[in-house]
Amino acid sequence: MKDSTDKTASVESQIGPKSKTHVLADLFITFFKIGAFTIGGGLAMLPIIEREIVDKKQYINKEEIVDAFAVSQSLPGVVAINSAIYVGYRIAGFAGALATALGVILPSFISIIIIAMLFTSISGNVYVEKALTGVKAGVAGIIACAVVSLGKKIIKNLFAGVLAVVAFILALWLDVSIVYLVIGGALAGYIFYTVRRVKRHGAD
Amino acid sequence: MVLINLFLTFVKIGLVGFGGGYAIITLIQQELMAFGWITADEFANIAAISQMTPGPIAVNAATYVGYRVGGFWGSFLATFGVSLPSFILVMLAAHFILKFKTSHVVESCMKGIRPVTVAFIATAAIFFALESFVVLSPFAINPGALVIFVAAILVTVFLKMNAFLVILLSMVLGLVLC
Repeated sequence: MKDSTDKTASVESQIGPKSKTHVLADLFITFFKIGAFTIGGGLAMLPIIEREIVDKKQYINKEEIVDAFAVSQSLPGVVAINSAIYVGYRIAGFAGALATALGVILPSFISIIIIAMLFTSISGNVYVEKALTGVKAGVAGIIACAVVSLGKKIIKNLFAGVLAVVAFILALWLDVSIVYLVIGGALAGYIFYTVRRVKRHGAD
Repeated sequence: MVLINLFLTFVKIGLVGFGGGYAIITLIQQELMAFGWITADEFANIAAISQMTPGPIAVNAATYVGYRVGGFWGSFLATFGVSLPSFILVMLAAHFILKFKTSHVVESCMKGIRPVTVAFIATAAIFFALESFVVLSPFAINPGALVIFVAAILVTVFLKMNAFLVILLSMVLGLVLC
């Protein structure tokens, strides 16, 4: 705990007048809502995190939310929990990570225990299927909007555009795992920006 | 003891499970059937419930399986176990990235990783579209779900509607239109 207070010192100055307890409570409540509305996997969560944490509350910026997602996908574990921990840690250190992780897990935990106690089967219910199809269509729309808003911020030069198109094709048609895409992207970025830096210094 | 084994099994799943909900569900199935804790039929039911209940699929599955094997404490230990490796690994990674974000190596790598990640998120939109309003072979469109998709984009862009409200409305419209 002692060493996490050092790390959050710089973070708190960006948060402004809000007290740490206030920030932790806010993180917990926001991620509780995110957990409750995430239907169909961690990917559905990202646009909601973007709207709530980046656009509305402005705790972190768009680059950082993409970093959070890259890390969450590339490490083992549940994507939703990984993203919650990354965002919580970035905003308020270890206590923040605890608040976001608990928040995102609790709605699942409560609803599943109730279902496990009451029912043995809800699959095949036609109303559940209809509602689920509606939610998935809506989530597809929200994710499409998130892609456009993140893309505008991230894809600013030709290099980034080419990388994105190549990665899209590899992921969609060749089913390449995100882990290899992230490693490939890191290598390409390192080589491209190192060569560019060397060239610029050479020209001086 | 069953509870300790259950906890350790889920720590292992959290440590080796890559690639989101569906991949982790498969892993849970392999591990738990090896112990004889759960049958294939029961598992099919668990997978369906996990997808239809609010919350991340893998967390739902861990909680449900834990409950079936060891009641409340079973579900607590399974969920705690599957999250524990994430805490350690993600905080280490976040710490490293934040500490070295101004160094040339980390900065240039992150600049390469970000466009790739945005592209990967775009494939997620297509994944959800294929699950709701587009069927590929034979090609067909679910018109009700397509209306919901377009409406979700319009209210997000023009009304800046809260994402939670968009999902809630999609659910209600799904009951009526799909």
